[in-house]
Amino acid sequence: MLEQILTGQFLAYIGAAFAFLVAGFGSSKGVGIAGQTGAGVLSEDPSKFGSVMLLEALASTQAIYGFVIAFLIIGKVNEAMALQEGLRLLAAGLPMGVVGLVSAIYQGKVASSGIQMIAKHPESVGSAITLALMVEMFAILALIVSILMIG
Amino acid sequence: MIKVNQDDYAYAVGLIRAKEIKLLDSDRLNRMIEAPNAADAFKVLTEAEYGYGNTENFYSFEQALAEEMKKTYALLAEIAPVSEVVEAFKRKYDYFNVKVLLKAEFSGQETPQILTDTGIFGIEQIKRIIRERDYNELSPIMIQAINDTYDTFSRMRDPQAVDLIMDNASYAQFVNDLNEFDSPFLHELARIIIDITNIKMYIRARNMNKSWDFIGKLLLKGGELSEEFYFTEFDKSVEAFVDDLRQTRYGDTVKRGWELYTEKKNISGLEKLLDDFLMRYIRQSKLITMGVEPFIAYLFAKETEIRNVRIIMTGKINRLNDDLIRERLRLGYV
Repeated sequence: MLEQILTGQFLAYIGAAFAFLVAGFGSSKGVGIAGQTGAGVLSEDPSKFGSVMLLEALASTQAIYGFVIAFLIIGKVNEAMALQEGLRLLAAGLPMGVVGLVSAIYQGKVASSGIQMIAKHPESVGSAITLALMVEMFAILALIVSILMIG
Repeated sequence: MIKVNQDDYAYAVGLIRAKEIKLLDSDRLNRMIEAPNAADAFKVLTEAEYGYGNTENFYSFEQALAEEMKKTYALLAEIAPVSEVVEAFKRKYDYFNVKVLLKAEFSGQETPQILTDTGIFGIEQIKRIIRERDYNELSPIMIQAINDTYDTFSRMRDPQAVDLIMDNASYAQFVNDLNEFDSPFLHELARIIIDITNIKMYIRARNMNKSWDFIGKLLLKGGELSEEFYFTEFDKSVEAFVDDLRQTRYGDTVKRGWELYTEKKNISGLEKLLDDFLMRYIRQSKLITMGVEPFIAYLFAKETEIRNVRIIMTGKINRLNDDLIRERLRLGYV
């Protein structure tokens, strides 16, 4: 019974699901926090919509990366794949999932702070975006590691 | 303990940051001070959209200030994730109302028209509570204060005692409410408020030659300076007290205030310096981007602003010298 479920194919799918689910959860949370702060600022000053939206969207990239990894893993799956091969693909999904989760939440917080900053100093939208983009680097590194592992 | 879930404040903090730029900064306050007359000073407030815009001329500026306060509370109550944040601040208006009602009752006079509806209880509601002595909805600290007031007044017949007990209870309630939050920043804030209130009261009471019995009863507990500290100081002179505060963080502030007092024989300079000390602490919350702190800081900021506006408008109406007005202004948040 167990051998029938624990196939290489199944393990690879878990890897794909993990990469997307976990990174997607992080992005939802990050964008959610930044979006709430943005709504607070906009309710007082709707003219800042452009910069607020830009900052809010930054934390959504982790979900996109998670999607890419899931896509690549699913592309490798076939019914006859060995257990070891499936395990390797599962492991490949982990970096993107975990780093995506954490970096998206923190990026959302930096974006939220950045939105607070542009509420006071609209001219510093460039610095606010740069600060939030710093966090992006870790998600990109995780993406590369996951891609290398998929091979 | 009220758990502070930082992310819940994301919306509120965004809105508050956008509101903070509309606070009256020193430039605008200066424009008010330098205005040739009270009417021109009042125009700055109209520009800043103070109150609900019902005020026609500067003589009714108090109405604009009361409206502005109400407007602020209404806004914050709307965006607060938990109502306790705003209630902590609103309670002092209940204490004010109860104080007025009790004094009216003791003197057998009609209730004066100065009751405010900014508190948690509406005017009619608090009138009914005091008239029927139905204290179910009141907090334990307030019930205790009301009972103390009845008790003290029946013994001493001193309306000033009503002020002292209720004002003191109002502070005790406030620091108690601040301590309810799971936030080290607010706990520290509560400690500073306790110390500042105690130092002001202690120096004032000593100057009036009050007994330890009197001072000990009014000391708020839970500050950095303990009750024992004040007790040992009671045997010494006030100068020695100021000197002994040197090792604490209030040392310099109290020393400068005491110098002002010896110069001018007026304690308001010292009180201003201590209020500024508190504001300097609150200003730190500008660096906190998420949580209950910016929320609380905004309320402080607004209260200080309204206080400063009142000082300026009263000064302008009484044609005080600009420098004299400036000297009395509290340090603002922005």
